[in-house]
Amino acid sequence: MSNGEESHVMTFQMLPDDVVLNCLSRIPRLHYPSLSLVSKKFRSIIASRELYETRSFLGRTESCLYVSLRFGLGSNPLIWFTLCQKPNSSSKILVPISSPNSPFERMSGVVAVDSSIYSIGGVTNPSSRVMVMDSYSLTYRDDAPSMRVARVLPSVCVLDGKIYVTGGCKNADSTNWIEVFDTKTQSWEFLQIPSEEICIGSEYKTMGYEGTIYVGSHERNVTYKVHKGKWRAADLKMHWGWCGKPICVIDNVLFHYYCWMIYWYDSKNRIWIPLKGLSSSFMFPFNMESDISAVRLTDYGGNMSVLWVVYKTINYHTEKIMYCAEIAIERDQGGEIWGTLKWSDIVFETNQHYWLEDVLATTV
Amino acid sequence: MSKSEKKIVLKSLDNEAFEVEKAVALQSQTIWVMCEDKCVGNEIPLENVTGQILAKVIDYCKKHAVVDGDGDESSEELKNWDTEFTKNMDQSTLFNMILAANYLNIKSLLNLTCQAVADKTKTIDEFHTFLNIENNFTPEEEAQICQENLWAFDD
Repeated sequence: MSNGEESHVMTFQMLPDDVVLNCLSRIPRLHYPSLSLVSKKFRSIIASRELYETRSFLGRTESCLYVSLRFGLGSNPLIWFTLCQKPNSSSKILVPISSPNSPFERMSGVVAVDSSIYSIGGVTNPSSRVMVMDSYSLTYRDDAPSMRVARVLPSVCVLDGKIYVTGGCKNADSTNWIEVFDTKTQSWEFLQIPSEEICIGSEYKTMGYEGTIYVGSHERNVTYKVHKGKWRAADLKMHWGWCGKPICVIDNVLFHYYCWMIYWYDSKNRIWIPLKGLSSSFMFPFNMESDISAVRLTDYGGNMSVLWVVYKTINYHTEKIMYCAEIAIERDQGGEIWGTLKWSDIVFETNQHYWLEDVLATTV
Repeated sequence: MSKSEKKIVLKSLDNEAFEVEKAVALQSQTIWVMCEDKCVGNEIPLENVTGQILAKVIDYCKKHAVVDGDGDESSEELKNWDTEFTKNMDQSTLFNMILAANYLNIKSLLNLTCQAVADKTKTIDEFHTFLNIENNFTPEEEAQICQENLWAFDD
């Protein structure tokens, strides 16, 4: 289509702003990083709150994957990446995003609720600070209320829109060990736990699963859940299956990764069952010789995203190649759970040293 | 207007007149309000819509109208009809349809046409060509954007 075919050619920019928003909000979020390169106006629309309000109003919200990496030394700032589709191709790639007001000091527990990413507590020093990044404007704000106690490396998980922050505080007892942030009311409250028997040591893992909070203790080699006001020990197979492994919970089903396979936990029969329909070869598109590390599973809007890093040495140089795959999860009538590979791609390649910190999905 | 008047005349910007069933025309909230206000007679002037576009809008409204119990189109068929309706529209027609749907306040048509724009444009090139958007970055800005976004341009 030529620009000069008629003197009164109608252009997209001649449409009223609300109609432009209506059109853009219907384009999948994966294309936004490319679209922000189209023109100045697009750049500002793509970063505007109005666009995301329109998406929400029209029921067009989607899951969006965020990955944070820390390059070089541990004191370097965190860099966030978002998954996007390359212009003029179907391949996916992680693109760096600049996040203004990024906290200078390292924050510890990172979780996503709706469109926001919360960073909670300190890494080296106790902190009660909470930073929130809107995943549309990608700007950090620090007006969220602080925790009631300062914490170092707390374990953080989400259950029903509430953020549970566990451990990492001085003088821990049953009244202050866990505190809960209600994202709707934006307020903190302590959660009274049944007893202090699990509050020893410093290494915990927590998750929201089957309507309650699970706490796994590495030191005590046990997983407890809060059940009817008491701690109840989970099955040992369940404990071993989740505590030291990459996990995610999707639609109340617990999944873990172990040795190139993804399993789900059958809580009735207390066994881990391999995901049907998914060959382990999906993780090795090229060869089976490479080392796999840093596997992460994430609930990606009801599907599962699997992220993993492969080390490849070419001419004495080691390349770190990050892969990502999206797996559709379905339960058949017999109760078996199936996984179907939707796509898999190399999403990031570098020979620089980095730590893979957080992988999470927001809804925007 | 009395209830016995079942037909209505819509007059376009270029003075083309279209006689349509009231049930067809009243899918437009704008026309509905005009009729309610009784500030118009049987003929409604639409100053923002050309005859060529209005004819298409009326086609759409006829297909979507429930007239005298005649609206038993299956939703699947209607969906296919909608797809065909926007499929081969050139950009100028599509934008004019969007403007008309916006002015006439026909929500379903606005959503359909906006979706058509979204479906036809997913890449930078498509935006520049299909949507006719000028890349208004300065050469310096463009060089910097390319540098910062090598991922988008490297193959």
